[in-house]
Amino acid sequence: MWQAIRENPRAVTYAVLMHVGLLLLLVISLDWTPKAIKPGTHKPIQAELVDSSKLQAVEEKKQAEQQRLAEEQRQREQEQQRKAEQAAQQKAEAERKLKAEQAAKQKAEAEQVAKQKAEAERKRKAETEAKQKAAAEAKRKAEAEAKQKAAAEAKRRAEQAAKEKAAKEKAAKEKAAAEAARQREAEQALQAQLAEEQAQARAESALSGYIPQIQQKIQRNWLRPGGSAGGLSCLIRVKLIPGGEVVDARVVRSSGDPLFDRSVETAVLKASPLPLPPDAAMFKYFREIDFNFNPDN
Amino acid sequence: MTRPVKLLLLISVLFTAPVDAALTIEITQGMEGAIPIAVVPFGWRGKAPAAPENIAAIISADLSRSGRFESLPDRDLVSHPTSAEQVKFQNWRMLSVDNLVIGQLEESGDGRYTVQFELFDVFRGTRLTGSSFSAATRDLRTVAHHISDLIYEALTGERGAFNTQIAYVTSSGTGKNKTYTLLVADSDGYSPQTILTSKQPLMSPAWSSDARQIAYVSFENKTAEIYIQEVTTGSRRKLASFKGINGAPSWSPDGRQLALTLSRDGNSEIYVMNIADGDLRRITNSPSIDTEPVWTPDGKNIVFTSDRGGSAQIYRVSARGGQAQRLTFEGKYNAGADISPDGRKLAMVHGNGGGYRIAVLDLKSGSLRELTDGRLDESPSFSPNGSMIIYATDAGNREVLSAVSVDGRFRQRLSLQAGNVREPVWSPFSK
Amino acid sequence: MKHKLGSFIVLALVALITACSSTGGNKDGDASIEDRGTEASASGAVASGATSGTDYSSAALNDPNSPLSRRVIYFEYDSAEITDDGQQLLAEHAGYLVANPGTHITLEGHTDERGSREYNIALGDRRALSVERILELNGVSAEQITIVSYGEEKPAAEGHSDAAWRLNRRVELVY
Repeated sequence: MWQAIRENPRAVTYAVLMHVGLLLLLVISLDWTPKAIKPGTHKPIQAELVDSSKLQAVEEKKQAEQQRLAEEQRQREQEQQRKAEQAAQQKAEAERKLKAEQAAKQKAEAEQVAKQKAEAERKRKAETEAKQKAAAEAKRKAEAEAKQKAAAEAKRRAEQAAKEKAAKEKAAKEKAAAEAARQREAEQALQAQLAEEQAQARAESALSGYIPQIQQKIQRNWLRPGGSAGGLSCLIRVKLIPGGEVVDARVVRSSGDPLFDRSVETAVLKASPLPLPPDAAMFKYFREIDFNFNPDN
Repeated sequence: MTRPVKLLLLISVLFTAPVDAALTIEITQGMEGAIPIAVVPFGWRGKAPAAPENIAAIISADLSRSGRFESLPDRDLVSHPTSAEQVKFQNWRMLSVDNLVIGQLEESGDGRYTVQFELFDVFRGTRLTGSSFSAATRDLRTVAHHISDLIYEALTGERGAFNTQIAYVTSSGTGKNKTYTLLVADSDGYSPQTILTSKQPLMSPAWSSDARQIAYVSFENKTAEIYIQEVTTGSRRKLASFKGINGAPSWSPDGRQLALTLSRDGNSEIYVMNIADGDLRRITNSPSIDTEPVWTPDGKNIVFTSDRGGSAQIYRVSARGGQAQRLTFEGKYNAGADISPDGRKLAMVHGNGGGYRIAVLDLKSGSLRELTDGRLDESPSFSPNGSMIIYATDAGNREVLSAVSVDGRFRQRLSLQAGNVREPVWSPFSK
Repeated sequence: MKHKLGSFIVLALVALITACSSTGGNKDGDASIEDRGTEASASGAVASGATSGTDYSSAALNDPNSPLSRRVIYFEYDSAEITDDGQQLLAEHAGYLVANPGTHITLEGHTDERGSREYNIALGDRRALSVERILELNGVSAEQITIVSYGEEKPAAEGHSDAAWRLNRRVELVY
């Protein structure tokens, strides 16, 4: 699955964008407040001049009428309440259903997002660590390549199996699916991290053999200007092509002394071609090199 | 998972920082040494079969003598381009020269010539500078030295001092037949001109700061006297002829005063004389030897030799006189100091039991460093750009002049005429 | 008649001189320079009792057997101190100069080649001043003395050896 992602960057981008769009829609659509219940309206009583017995009869009639009305009213209110409750229940049910769907969708997205993040993280870590470490160790190039291939294959298979498992479990109970997905995420992160560290160690040991050689060739070709002040340092960015030939050299942080800068540029040009590992797969680490000329430290 | 957390994850994926592709490698040392340069013999266009001067050879020797450059020998040149389009940088890169100089010399009639040069950066494949000059035959060496100055400046950032002069004294013969001569020559020793000849000793030449006059000590009247003489016209006048010593003249930077040594008041002391009216002011007052005054470039102080501490050492005093401050603390003997044009260093004769050598004292740090390893080295004099020191040394049974770079890395004998050559002084930049 | 007067004067002078020299009872090198000095100043212009037998006539200056034929005082490295031997010799010359107050002497100071030239001019000057002081202590008037220093410019011996250097660290007494 990781390879699929790597090999289809555009597809991944569209998927992510689509999920973002959907999410935004969801956020907007789900955001409504429940409707308020309106109270019923009373009919106005018309007043007439009448005698006391009639008045009483009228009173009794009125009372009975009132009771009846009150009863009707109560019944109506009960009915309305029931309806409201029903509606609320329905709404809650619908909400729950939507929430579940949304949750399921988000879970799937999150899985993918997490996977992608882990991948990006791994990539970045591998490249920054390869850049910064330079230990001294023996070269095991052929072994490293074969191991790398086997590890990549194993990783691919493991990820394939994990994918299928995740799809099956999504169909089952939603709560259990969420739990299982979360657990798998953690496991995969761990596995990815381990594989990452192993790949790094292999890259480092291969690099460490070549960095001193490059340093020595540059140093041999660098004529430090005699009259310069001490404490100068200059950073120059060099672009190489396979074979080690320098095709571009540019000062990115000047020492402030144009003579010192110029001597640094000359050193790098004179040292071309730089001694690189013959393994083409290692070239990516040397495509662009920053040389920090810092002689007084 | 709650909604906010999912949102956060999404956002974090979208805003992940772009991956930095560069690997950083530290370079903590380099090589120290001369810049390799190739100076190709200039093309010649004229009626005569050969050019009147070998401009490239003069430039090549100048650059090598400075110690900052190493000229590729002629036999190692792979090709002889004389114009930019003939240059194939790939060839020069294989020879590992950093820079290339080419040029042409052409007769333009009436005893005049056109000299043209170009300087290239071999590895970058770019032209750094170039120029064209017109000159008479007698000025061709001057033009060559000027080109050396331009190249030196373009590649080191410092002003070149090749188009300058030196003055020095020679003695030849022995006993009653001894002859002393004061001469001025180019900084490479060529084209010497006699300023004065005498049967009696000549000593202590000193240039004025406009490089137009020289002060010196002459014993022509059987005693030491100080004269100042104009270099171009030869006209001179006697400035000091007091009882006893009249010695070690040194011009103030503004050219109005002369510091000198007199013993008219009993023993050698330092005085300052106003050149215009001869007004004299005494600067030191001690029963010890006080001599060899030299002005600091700001004209405020005078550095001199004194043995008031028991042995010859270098001291500094205000030009108005007062308390003197000792400057040298290493070695049994320090004398004959010259001060660098930036006022930061002193070159001197330094004796430590093994012999007398030229040493440089850093006035700020107080550290002293020996630059030469002779037994009888003396009379150090800084070049006007402060990068070299010329001095007198003995080679077997002859006194000769030698030049050493201020960092001590490069030393070269100056080939001059026969006889004993001593007391070299490097002229300032002519204004 | 003239001859007789002239020869009488000469005889008288000779008698005077020999008398003077024979009255001196001191042996060579007995008295210290201070004693001599005191003696000389106490007795005034006429030097007495300096050394036995030294002739201070003007002819003595050209006499190769006279101590006055030695005209060089030597010095140690970077020093202007005069050795005992030097002081004795200077006493002789002082004797002559005092005896011949019209005579002028130039003291030429020199050094060996080591070190810087103007410092050596000052060092040569200091050596000549040392010699002058001794002469003055011995009664010589300052007007009779001129000093000049040549530093290392006029070596007596060419060469870069200790032997040559020793010969160059000197003051020459030039009449």
